[in-house]
Amino acid sequence: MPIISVENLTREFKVFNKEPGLKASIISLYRRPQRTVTAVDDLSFNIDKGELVAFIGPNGAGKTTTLKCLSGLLYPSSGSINILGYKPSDRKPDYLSQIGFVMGQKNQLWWDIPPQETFLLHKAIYNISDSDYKKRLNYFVKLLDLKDIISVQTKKLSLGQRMKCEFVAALLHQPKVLFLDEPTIGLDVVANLKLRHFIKTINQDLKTTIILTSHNMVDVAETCKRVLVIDKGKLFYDGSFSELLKKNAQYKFLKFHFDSSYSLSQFKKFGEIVKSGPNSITLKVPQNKHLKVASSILASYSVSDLNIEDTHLEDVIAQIYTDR
Amino acid sequence: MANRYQNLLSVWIIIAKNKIQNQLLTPSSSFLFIVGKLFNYSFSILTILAIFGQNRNIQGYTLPQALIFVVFFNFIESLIQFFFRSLYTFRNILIKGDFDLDLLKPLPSFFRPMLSGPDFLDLPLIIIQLITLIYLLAFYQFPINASTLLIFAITLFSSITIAFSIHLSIAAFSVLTTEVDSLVAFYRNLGRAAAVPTDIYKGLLRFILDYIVPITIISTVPAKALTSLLTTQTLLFSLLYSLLFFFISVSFWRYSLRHYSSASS
Amino acid sequence: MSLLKYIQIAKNTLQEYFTYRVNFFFWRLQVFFSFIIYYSLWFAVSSSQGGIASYTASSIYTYFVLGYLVRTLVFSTRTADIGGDIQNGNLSTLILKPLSPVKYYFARDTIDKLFNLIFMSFEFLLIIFLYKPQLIFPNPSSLLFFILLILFATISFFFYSLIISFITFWVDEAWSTRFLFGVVFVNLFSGQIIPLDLLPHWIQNILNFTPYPYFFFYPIKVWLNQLPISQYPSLLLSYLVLILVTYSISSFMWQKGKVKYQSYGQ
Repeated sequence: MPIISVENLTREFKVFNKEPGLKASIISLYRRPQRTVTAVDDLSFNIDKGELVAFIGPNGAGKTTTLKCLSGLLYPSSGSINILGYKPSDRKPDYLSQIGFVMGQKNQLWWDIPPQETFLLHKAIYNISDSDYKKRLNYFVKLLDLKDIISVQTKKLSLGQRMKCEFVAALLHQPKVLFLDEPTIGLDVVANLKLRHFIKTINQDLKTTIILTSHNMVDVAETCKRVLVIDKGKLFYDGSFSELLKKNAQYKFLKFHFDSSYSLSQFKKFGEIVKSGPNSITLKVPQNKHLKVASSILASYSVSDLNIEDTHLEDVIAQIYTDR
Repeated sequence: MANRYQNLLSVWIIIAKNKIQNQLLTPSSSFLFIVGKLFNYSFSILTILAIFGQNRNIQGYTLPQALIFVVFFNFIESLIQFFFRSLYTFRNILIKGDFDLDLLKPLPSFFRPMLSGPDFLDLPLIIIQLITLIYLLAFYQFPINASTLLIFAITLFSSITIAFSIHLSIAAFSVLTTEVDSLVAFYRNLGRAAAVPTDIYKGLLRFILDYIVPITIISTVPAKALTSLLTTQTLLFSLLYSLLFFFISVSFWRYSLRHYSSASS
Repeated sequence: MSLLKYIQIAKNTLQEYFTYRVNFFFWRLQVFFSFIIYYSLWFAVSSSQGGIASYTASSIYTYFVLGYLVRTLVFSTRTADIGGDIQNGNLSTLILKPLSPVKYYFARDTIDKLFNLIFMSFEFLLIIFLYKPQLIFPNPSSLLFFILLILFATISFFFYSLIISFITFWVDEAWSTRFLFGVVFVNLFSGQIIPLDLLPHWIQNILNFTPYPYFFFYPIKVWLNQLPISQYPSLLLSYLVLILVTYSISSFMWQKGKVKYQSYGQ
């Protein structure tokens, strides 16, 4: 029995068009042309308990809108969503007590008070017992190294520190389902890494079902086995991330360093030249041919160094998006 | 169910504790604000005294009655501001989009806009005003017995209900349009009319004060209960109207939430 | 050449008003309702007795109707923005330009007053139409003196408001000082709520040593022909002293404050 089941979810928005200028402003007072935008178009999928799933897609694809419909913030225009046996848009307190949400650009920590106090607020809101609260808080403080941070006013924390606390705030009540909307946006590499590790840990330890949206493909690759590719509101792929890559990563990049300079034109027959320097050249070669090309060049030219790289993740995904 | 109310109370207490701490961090600033409010309060009493001067009766009201009205007006204003001041900062939360996250908590949706910012700078004045009120009632020997107090309690209930509903409606407007500040300022301005019994006003203004933005029920009606000037008719009407007003504002609030489309990333 | 800058500043300020027109509309609505409430109150108070203390009914009506005009002329100001500009560092952008920030704020104030006046005149007509108040008109010498006093009141209030804003150079929480000295005291002690001569004598005597009655109360008294010409010279002297004092203090604070502000490199 899936914990989340979505059937034919559609969400439309009315958008008003306004031309610039004073005349248009006056006209807009009594007549505003509008059009309907379909942000989410007939989405259907199921998610089981304990899964760690990512929604990926280009900007404006409808990922965040889908997430908002799933959490209950937005009402579906049509279709149905069932999470933990509830209809999210009813926003019943019993449902809300079992979900958590972290949004990358927004705060649920109150600005003027230390995170510690927001945690206490959550303890009261979600009715967490004293012993559970202490146990869980200790767990998170240790896991994320928050001892010195939680008593500092939120407005004085760095983005990375704040995001860690946002996660704690979202997880203190041990929700069964956690929604993460671009949780790592704006974070530096180290903070990113820590958060990624944290997400995987709580998924394993606490068996929290996690749905996240992200632009960062490395994050997605490192954390999620299953992805849903959404573009223009439609679902294009629902399955394993590695399968998706395999099917679409059809190229390898061969970077050669030479002892002497050679003219570029002679390499054109081997593959597409994507970069070149005084004594180096990078070739884009189809996957099944790359070994043959490599050995041909090694045999015929004086090579001092060779690097073989997979297609960058971003490029694969970009390719998938543009192929639609 | 009782559990839920207990939760709300503990949440409010945590918020209140933090608010006090923050306000104590800037003692000189807090002091100046309190002094300013004290001046406003004292001056309003002075004005009434000056207006009555040698006259025993203005528009059918005596000086003792007028004093009760002005003191109670100040008291209820301070009390309402104490509880609902967070509405003034609601706009920021809306614009940043943080309100979304509030909606996903098992907390009443109006909690953050309305009840999340008790202003303890009003507290010293509330106490002073309450003491003044009791003193005046005793000094001028207004008849206060159990039934007066009961009636007063009912009018106080209607008063707070209306105040709550007005603030909730403003919150609903701001969810739809983000125009909070002007509406709040407009309401506060209008509210000053009740420093004197609203009976003295006529025409459209009176109609607005009685029915559209029922300042009359907030200030004048409870003060009349204390000075034994309240008719049963007015008492019943205020109670029923406040309940009606409450239901309308709650429906309006629900309506605004339904149409609330949070801005996408 | 330098006047051109300030004309441009004035134009830009005007643009701002068009952008924030909804806010401005609500602001005017508030001011208008504020008047209606005070007027209704004083109308109720004085109509039953045919006046109050030394004021006839018409002089009370005139006091408040004229007060509407005086309030707009003297008290509309953008100098309250200065505190914010100092705190968030916006003042830097002004200091770094070849213009005097004080003249800049004065230019903004002029536009603020002009704009408010235009709208106020419409509201004024509405008030006359709705209430048809019996008004008292000044005799020629009173009128001339009234105009002079309004000018002095406007100038001295500008400097007074600068003083309060400049406190922000030294004190972090400037809003409380503006609340107390720029809002509460100005509202209460200038005579906007109750004519000052209805208050006990000892209070009036104290207030005469503060700037507040000179912003609002005295010009109106002059209009009402209630100030004998013999008192004009001493009143004039008081205003000149007021302008001199507020100018000196604000000037001094500006010089010292500028240095302090720049030394922090905000």
